[in-house]
Amino acid sequence: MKNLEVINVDDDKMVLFIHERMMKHSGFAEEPKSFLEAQETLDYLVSAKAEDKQFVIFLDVNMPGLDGWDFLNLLTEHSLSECCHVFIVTSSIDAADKEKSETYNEVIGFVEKPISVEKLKDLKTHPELTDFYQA
Amino acid sequence: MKHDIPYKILVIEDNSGDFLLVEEYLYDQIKSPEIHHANTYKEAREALLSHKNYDVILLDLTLPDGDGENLISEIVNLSQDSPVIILTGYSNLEFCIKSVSFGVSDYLLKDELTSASLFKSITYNIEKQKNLLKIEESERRYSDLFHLSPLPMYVYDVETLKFLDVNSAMIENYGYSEAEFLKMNITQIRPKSTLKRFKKAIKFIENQDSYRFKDKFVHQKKNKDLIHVEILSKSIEFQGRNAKVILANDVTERTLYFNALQKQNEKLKEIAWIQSHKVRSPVSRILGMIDLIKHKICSEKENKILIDEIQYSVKELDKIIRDISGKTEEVKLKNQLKDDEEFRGN
Repeated sequence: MKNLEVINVDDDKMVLFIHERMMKHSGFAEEPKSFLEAQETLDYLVSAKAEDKQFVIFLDVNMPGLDGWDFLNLLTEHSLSECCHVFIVTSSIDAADKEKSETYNEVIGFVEKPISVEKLKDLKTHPELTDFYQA
Repeated sequence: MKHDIPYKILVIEDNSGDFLLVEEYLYDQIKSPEIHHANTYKEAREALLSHKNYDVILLDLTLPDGDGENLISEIVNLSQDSPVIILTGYSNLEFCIKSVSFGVSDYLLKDELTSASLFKSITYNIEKQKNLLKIEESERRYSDLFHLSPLPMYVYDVETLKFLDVNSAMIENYGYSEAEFLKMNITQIRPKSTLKRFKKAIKFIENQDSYRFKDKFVHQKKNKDLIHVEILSKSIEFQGRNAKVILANDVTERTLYFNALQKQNEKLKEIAWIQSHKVRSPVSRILGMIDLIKHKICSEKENKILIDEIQYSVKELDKIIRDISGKTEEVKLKNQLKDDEEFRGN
């Protein structure tokens, strides 16, 4: 758990607030970080990158300015692909979005808003995350 | 050798010597001809009215009760499509040549008549007549196809662009009478703004035997209404003129429907997009906030803020739904308009 950092990226403050609280309450993350913009998130990742440190990012794709897809492209450019595991968070799951996301190795899943306590409990058993959440 | 063809022949001849000669020639060549004899126009008329199926009529040009052009036209009228062959002397030769144009099939000079030449003329003209009737029949059938077609059709002269023929559907759809059409040229059923394209089009099809235009043309009715038509053209010779027969299928109604449907479809797509994208956003936020309250995750103070936020999101949702209703109303309104137009048209 120590080497895992959970990050929420969404341009809606209320969504960030809900997700933060849900994560703390469900024990998914003790100190989740929230960002309103993709660029800000990227800057943080670059500065916080460290050996053995992994990031789980809940990423809203529809954002003004740098959107979720741009963000995913920049992860590779900044050699962050290896340490980032991304859940695409949308309010409606578009077939085209899903197809597009399959071209990104970093994307490990789709989450429909809002994230619930139950959903977060499920995500702990996600094959890519089980290592972090084993008792 | 005699030919075994049971010809039924009417010989109209007042001179008994000439009749006997003709009869002898006929028996020379034909095994058992059925020969009827009329001495006068009156007798001929009776024979033609009671026997309608003569294979051929042999006519002497001078009878006690009729001669010349009058006699010919009376007999041709009564002949019911049987060929009429004139028997005559030298003195009438010039007139005989002219008589062919009155509907006479052939003329034979009595002084040069032989059984062989008589027989040859008879068989030849019977066959010729049969073929003429076939051609007439086929022309009539094509003419019916044209005139009785439920689709508007017209024929125009390639050189003068004048209407040469129009069918009843054309008259009905465009509002001009046949007489009016025949005084007009085909540019007159088109709005001025489309003449440039039209001239290009007629030039283009001038050397095409048949052509179907993919794009629609705009035509103008007598009452100035504009209609959309699909044009099919085919080259024909009409009354000796180089012409085109045009089928002008009126697709105005179809086009209107299509455009209305397309607009409606766009609106519905827009509505569907709003449903899935815009509506989901406040809904998901509200669900999330309710979940927070339900799980008693937040402090008392935070809960109050959450309730205000829920109210705010519900208002946002309300506005989006009102917008959608507005758009649905627009689609409905347009349909209504369409119905009214149809009603007025009827």
